Amino acid sequence: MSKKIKRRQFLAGVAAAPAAGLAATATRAVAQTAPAQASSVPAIPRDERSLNDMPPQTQGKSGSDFMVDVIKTLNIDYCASVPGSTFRGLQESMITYGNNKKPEFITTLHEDSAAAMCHGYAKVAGKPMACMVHGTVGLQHASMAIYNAFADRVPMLVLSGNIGNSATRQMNVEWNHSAQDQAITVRDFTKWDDQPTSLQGFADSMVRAYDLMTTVPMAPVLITADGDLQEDTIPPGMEKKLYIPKLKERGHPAGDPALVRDAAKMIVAAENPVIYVNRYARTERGPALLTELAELLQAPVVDNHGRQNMPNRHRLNHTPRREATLANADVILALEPVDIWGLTNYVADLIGRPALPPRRQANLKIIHIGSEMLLTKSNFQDSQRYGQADIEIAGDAEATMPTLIEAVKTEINASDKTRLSARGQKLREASAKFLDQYRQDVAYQWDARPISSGRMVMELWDQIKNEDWMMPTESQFISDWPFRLWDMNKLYHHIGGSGAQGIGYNTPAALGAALANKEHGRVTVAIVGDGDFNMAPGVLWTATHHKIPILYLVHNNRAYHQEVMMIVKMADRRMRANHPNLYVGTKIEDPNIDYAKIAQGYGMYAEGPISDPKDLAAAIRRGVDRVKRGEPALIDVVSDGR
Amino acid sequence: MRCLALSAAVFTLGLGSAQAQDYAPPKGDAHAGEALFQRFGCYSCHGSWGQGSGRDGPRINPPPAFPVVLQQLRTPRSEMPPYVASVIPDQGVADIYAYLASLPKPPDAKTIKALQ
Repeated sequence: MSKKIKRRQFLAGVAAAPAAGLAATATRAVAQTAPAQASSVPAIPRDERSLNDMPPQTQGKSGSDFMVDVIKTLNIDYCASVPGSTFRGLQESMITYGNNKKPEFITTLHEDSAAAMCHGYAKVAGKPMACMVHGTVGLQHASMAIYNAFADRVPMLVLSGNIGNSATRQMNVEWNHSAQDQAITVRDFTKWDDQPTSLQGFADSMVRAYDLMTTVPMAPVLITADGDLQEDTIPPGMEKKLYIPKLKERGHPAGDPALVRDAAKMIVAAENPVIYVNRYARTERGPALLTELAELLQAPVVDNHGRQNMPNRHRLNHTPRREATLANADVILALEPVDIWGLTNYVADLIGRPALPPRRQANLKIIHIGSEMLLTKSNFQDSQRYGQADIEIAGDAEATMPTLIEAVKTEINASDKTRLSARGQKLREASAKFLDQYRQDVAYQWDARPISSGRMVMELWDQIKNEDWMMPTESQFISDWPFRLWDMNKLYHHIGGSGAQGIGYNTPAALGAALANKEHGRVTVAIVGDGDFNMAPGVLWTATHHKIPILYLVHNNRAYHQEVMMIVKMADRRMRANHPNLYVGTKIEDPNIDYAKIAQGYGMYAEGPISDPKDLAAAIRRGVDRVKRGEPALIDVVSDGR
Repeated sequence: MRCLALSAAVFTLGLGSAQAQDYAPPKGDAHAGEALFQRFGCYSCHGSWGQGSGRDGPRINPPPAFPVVLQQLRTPRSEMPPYVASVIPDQGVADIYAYLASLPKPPDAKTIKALQ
């Protein structure tokens, strides 16, 4: 249409406007008085039967029975949960139709604990377990533990209930617990989610979810089980049409072989190569392959302890000389480092947070093999600062290792062997001194009060060193003594940390690990901070109720000690460290908490508070004895800050 | 967190010398020093016995020479925050020093069964 015509029409419209306005007013008047045209759809519900007229209701196979059929094909042993009405159909099917086996329903007292148990379990069992959370509110409770697992790239199957059909929601509470998009609460930190609207869709999505979460990069997934789908009878004729896709084993993505050959050339030619590992080992093969590579190259390994990557007493494990080793490197091979930028950069904890790069060689080259870039999300910043290596190889480091080892073997010639052997000899001589030095360091704190972390850790070691043991908890708050002085040589001896440092991981995740250890008869020993413990004390009841053997040592420094240090530092900078309020908000005292009494209240064997270091060994011995008999136990140790 | 690094300065400042060792520390009250060590948060990184953690603060038991301690407190190296004289006067530092110097000598690690 031309501008000329438009203008003409506009002018005609303006001229006609007053008359049209009158006509419209008249029409509205008619509309207000005339009856609405009759509709074939009534304005009120048609069913006029009263509740008393409804016949007794029973049903045959329900939708949630089929859902349990699906879950059983995934070989999931446990489902941790706080019961909730949005998944009542599925829970009932799981415990009766499914006979409470594969999965067994594990009752927890908080959804965060249920999810954190999944986190710890998966890292020991090598396969995921499930948690089932109430619509909206339960999922919000679980969200922090799901975020921890995401940041740690650990799989878990999160099942959420939801009454998706607003017309079938019962009054009040079911509205509060339902959502248009249940997954939005956790979508930023799950690998995938779905809210299927049919039983066949549920089967497809569950198998897809399992496939996705167990393929590197691993991460939690969420499937929302619709309430009507759970509770309604499977319509006649539909059951025969339903099928469950068979779960197939899928390989993990490995690095480009051409780039791996380039990496091998670079690291064999290096004068002082260093292997840096963090979230590397997934299976028993991981540490074995890493050891083989280190010995081939006669190169030191620096372990950031994201997993149990290498025996800590191996003579090529130079983690105790971390900075000196990295400072000497001309090539760093970084395997799943998580923070590649941090290898050559440092933001100091000084006013203004200045960038103060650590000492590194000017000719340093970095090879990066890792899966970090294969799964990143935008909002939460667990991806770390962007860093680049000289050779970037996207892929799972453990899956890439066999190719790398073969390439390194090809590159090493006869003349290299003499050079590498001499390098290895020096490294072995240096590491021979590590143990004695650390033992003497602990001797300095042996009789200290409050009980030192070194004494607590070594008294525990003395009681478990001849057992098949595992320690599922983080060690930075106990000054890493286990890594320095224990003999850690099995994949399950240590499983890395929380991922996102969300406090409240250690206590429930340790129980998840203990659940996985139960069938192996391992002695699980967890050293948990008092701050962490107080986020999830209810897991003690879960441990007792389900007879999960685990020894908790509460590292009871009566403070959020990390924050004690931070506030002291802030006050020092501002010349206010003599202020009487220095410890307001960071101490957990007045009154002191009696953790043994709490544990006893949950039905658990417990001792403490232990304040005299001389009493510690006997208390731990009694606790370990309980665990060996299949019981959980707790020792409250009044301890120094670190 | 890398917090305090008191004894790191022992070597970097070159004050572990005979001259520093010869400097007699001012008289201090060990009992008062223990209280100050807690009150000002020294214990939080260095441990209640100055044992260090290997992560957050090094061992300062036994303490290095007094001038080294004083210099590191007033003008610290690394990420240790400064303790100015208006917060801890020199006498307070002397008391803390006396406390650290009063701590018992550690046993030989070889004599501790649980460390073998």
